[in-house]
Amino acid sequence: MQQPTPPYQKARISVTQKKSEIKKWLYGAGDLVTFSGRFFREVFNPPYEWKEIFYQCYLVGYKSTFLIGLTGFIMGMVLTIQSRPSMAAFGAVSMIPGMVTVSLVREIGPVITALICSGNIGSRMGAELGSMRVTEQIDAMEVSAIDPYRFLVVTRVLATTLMIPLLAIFSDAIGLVGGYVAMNIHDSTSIRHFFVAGLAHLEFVDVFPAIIKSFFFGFVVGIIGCYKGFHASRGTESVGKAANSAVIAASLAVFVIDMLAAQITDLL
Amino acid sequence: MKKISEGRTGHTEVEESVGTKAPGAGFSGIGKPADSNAQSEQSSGEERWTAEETGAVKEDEYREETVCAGSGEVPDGNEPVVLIKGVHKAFKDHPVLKGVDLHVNKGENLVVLGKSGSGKSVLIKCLVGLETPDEGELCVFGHDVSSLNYKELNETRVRIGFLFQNSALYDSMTVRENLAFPLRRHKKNMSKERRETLIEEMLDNVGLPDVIDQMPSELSGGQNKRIGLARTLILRPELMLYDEPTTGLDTGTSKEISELIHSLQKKYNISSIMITHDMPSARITADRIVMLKEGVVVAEGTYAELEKSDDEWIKSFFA
Repeated sequence: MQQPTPPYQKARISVTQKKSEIKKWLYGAGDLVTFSGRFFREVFNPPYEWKEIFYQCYLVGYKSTFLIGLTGFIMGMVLTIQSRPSMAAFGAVSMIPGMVTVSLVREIGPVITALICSGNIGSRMGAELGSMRVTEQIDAMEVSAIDPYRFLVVTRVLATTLMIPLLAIFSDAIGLVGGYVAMNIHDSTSIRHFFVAGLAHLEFVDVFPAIIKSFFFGFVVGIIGCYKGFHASRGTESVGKAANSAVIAASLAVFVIDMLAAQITDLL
Repeated sequence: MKKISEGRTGHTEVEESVGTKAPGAGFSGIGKPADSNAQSEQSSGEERWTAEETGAVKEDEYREETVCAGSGEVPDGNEPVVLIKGVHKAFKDHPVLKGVDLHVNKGENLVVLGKSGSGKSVLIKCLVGLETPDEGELCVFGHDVSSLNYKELNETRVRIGFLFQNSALYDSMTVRENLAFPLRRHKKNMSKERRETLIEEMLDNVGLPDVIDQMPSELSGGQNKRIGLARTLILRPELMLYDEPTTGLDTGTSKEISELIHSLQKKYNISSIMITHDMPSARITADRIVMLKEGVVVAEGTYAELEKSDDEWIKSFFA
């Protein structure tokens, strides 16, 4: 008969497992840094895959406009509707356009866009490259002396880095329209007045850091999606895992960057 | 420098002049006779496919230390295209290859037979640098693959074709784009018309001229294999590696693919290594067979020789 494992031994096994998990996580993080570093070496090294870059920009940018626009519109509406009672209590209803505009441009627009893109684009890239790894398409590129990193990763990361800031600006604009529509539920204001009053509150420190952080959001969404897909292990299960972990890791990275950006902006 | 002939009739002429191919010149030297070459050079302008483009004359770009020891001892003309000496490979604590020795001569098709898990696929993946051996020498075209740097490895890879078990066609591209992809990367000066002609020729060769605008997902398993073969051959490799090309196909299709491989190989005078455990396929394609058991070569010979073996394990393949 098998003897039960003593409690001290169970604790020792648990500690060993935790150590091994931490070690694995650290190796993974180091690997991701190396993977990202390679992007900067390759991106400035011609020839460029222009056709593929434009195609990926089309997929990331144009194909996401409806989703981003709809989300931005809803966020603008919700922000206006939720803030109105508090603002009305202080007799500051006229400040709503300014508050909504600053909130959208500084924070909500870029962050919501990046999170939607993590789910939409990050998972697509993770699944697509993971599937290519499993079906040996990446190996087929390598043995044909075609660098899969340049063709698959550089193009995709470049597309997300360039397109997500544009999508964030688009989301801000549609969000303001949503805010204007919500404002007109209780009050009556012209679109010109709403936009002029809103934009009058925007300063350089509201716009510039938001655009800069959107580039970082775009980069992490692309690089994490590609990294997870590129390193999928052999097996169909790993494709789902790659897509899932790409979304989780990219979303987490977006929040971490946002927190760092908030701290840095605070110093300005 | 010469170039290959143009147009749909090019391959007939390739067949006729294949015997005059200079050693190490790959497919750059094949095609029309000298006069015809001169004529087509005049007519085609920049549409050239030179030996330089195939990587065959880039020998001086390899570092000296990559040259295989002893490769010069073999008399000229008989030097093996592939020479594998004492290759070991293990995954964690599990040894897969335990000192494999084999060679492939020019124009020869070597079939590697063995049961699943005997290390067959790992062996050919080592030859193209997808896996790294723990020990031993893997000489391809006289250079040790494991000592090549990335650029040198890519120069070598251009001269090797690899047909994967599941064809590995790029599923986001049409058949035309799949075939054009390696040409766009490695034949940058080739005109669009010339590229299209080559793609059509190659699809004719594999008997699928009508699927050019279809997606791989719309094709059957056998058609996928044929397109995979066409994509691999379009760069005119000097060495082909087939990883179980008939796996998952019905008996009829499997025979068709084997005959196609055999005929294209003889047509283009390609050296090749085929990994399989499909005996009818081995009978059609093999010039010589090597049998791998638990990471070690246990038998070698022609199909007829091995068929007569008294060894129980060998007999189990031919039963």
